[in-house]
Amino acid sequence: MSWTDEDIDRLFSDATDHSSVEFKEEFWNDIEKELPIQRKNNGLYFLGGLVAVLLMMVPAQIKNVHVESFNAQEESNHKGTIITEIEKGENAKTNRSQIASSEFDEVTENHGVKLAITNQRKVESNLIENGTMNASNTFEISNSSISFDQGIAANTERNSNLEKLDLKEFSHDQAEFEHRNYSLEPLKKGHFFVELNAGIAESPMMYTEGGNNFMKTTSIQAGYSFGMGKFGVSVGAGMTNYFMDNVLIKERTKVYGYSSNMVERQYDFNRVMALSIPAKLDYSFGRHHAGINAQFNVPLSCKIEKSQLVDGVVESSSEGYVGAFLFSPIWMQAGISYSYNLSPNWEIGTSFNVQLNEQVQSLRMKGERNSFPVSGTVSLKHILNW
Amino acid sequence: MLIVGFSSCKKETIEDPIPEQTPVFTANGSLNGNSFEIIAGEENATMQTMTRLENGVKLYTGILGNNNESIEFGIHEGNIDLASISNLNHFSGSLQFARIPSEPLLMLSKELLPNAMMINQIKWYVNGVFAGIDDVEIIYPGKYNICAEVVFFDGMQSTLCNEMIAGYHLNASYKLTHYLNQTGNLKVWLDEATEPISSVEWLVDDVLYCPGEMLNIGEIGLKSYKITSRVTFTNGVVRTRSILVDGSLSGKFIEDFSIFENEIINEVFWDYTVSIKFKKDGITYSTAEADNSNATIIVNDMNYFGLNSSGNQVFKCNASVNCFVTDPSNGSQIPLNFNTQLGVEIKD
Repeated sequence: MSWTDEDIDRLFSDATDHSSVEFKEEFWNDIEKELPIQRKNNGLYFLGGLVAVLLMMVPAQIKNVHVESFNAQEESNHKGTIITEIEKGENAKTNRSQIASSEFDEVTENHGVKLAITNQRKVESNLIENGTMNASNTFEISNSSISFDQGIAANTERNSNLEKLDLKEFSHDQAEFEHRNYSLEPLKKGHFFVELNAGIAESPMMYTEGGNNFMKTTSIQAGYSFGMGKFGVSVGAGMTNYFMDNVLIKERTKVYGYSSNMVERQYDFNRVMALSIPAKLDYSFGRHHAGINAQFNVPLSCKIEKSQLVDGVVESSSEGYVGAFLFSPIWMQAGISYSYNLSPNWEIGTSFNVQLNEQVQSLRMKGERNSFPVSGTVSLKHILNW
Repeated sequence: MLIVGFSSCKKETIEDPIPEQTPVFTANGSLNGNSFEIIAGEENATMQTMTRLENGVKLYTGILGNNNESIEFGIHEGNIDLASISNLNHFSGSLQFARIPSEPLLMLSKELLPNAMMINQIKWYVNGVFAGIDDVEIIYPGKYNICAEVVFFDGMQSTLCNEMIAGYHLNASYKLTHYLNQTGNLKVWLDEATEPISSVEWLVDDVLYCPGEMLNIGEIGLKSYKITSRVTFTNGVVRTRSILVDGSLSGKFIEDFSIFENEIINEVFWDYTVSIKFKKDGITYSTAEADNSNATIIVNDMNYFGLNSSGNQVFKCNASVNCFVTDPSNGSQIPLNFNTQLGVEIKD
């Protein structure tokens, strides 16, 4: 026998209007004792509700949306942690609408916050009152699921004749990702990532005779991140390009012969390619991550433009690559960073770094060495869910 | 692909800086008590080297300086009748200054010729330039091409040219003597040779005739013939002398000009002598006309330096000079003292 909507409505109506057992607050108090987490009601509930409204507006293609507002409502009502999960899929928005419009037929007020109690909740109350609700992890309503925290959900399949739906256990893994408002899909402790960076940095040499004392930087990095509670650690490796504008060797020599020749040699270091080893420790709050980072760069190769002038006349000019032996073998930098999750897989960020050692080793470079050049970068990070 | 990509990149090297050099060619000293310093490479001063030809003789020259101040240092060629380049040892040690002779070195005179009575007039040409009629004096040392355009008593005109050396050592010399008998048999031979002869070539009217110590032609015609001998001595000297033979036996011949060389009594030799000109503020002071008989120039060493822009060898000459130069404004002699390291071009 299959249930029709009318049957369900009648069932709800009978259970609420003609209940033989009166709803008692003690039942909920008993349940509350079973809850593992006691959260205080505070202004965050309002914020949660606001977030919920905003999330209702999120396009349906954003999958696995965790509607935190339902948490707040359920929590306020039951004084415990209740997580409402909208089933992923194209019907998520519809389901939320149904819950909001039809299923919430009664509004109560608790601690000044208007809360919606669903018919299902009433059913649940009746079931509990009848002594038929046992501690369970499953509770299901139509295509939506309202999951109670551990121990409070009842196994209603015997009495409610509703379709079965497994309630997900509220685990620490889920908690780790809940604060990021991600899905409740089983999440991994760590993940690989690919990151693109672009930025600007002070030149390692300060040259006063014109030119730009800043340089552009780009890098591509790959690495692995893993979490430890709200802390995350990332390590990786990549290649960084430093597009220098004003790092050059400009040597002038007087060569005497039948008359003097003023020989000028200039090596313009246009680009330095370095192997990068970044590491980052960050703290997450919501979608935001603030952290400290360090990066070691090993310059490998330089692209140079070489020219020679004799008595002011260009005698030869060429471009090519040379080793980075005129630069320090390791560049160390450290700084602070901030990043924000655009989505579960995409993250943007920025960082501000200070070079800790001199990047130039040779005394032949023109200009004054910049002891602690600073740099800033913006980044786009893609998290690989392998 | 990465390896291929990197390997295909052009590899450049960052060369070590060119070491700053010290000046190569310098001169510092004083002219009449006024000090000067000239450095090639400073204040637009340059070291120019060249080999000049003065009166047919090479002058190995270096000019150090700029437009305002310069020293021209020249060493005259020596042993100019030798075919090969002079030994560099001749350029070292204590050298003499070249001095312009006070008396003529050569006297070209019609009257010195044995058949002067048959000659009406001689026009002398020195190095292709008309120099005079009948009598010409040559003052400056050199190697000259002397041509005599002879007009005989009957109006016949003949021309003969010979190379003559004045003011330089002759390492070998000779004269041509000829005999033409009534039958037209001509014999020409070398006389008064100062060095052993290695070989002789004969040319008749500029056409190679035969080798041998004596030219013997059985019968010649009645016209004039130009007989040329090209003699190689065992010491390396190569000289050429020509005579004009009158086939009509009427005395309209022309002897070689050796008689004029033999008349040189002025003991002036410019072999490996030095000439210096100092130019300052548009005035040129020269050693040539000053009395430098007691002056000294010590060439400490003479080493090869390199090729100049003409591709010729340049030698670096380190010398100390104490001499006099003539002030052209008043003809007085003023002292010039300097130490120098300058270059001179020396080529064959």
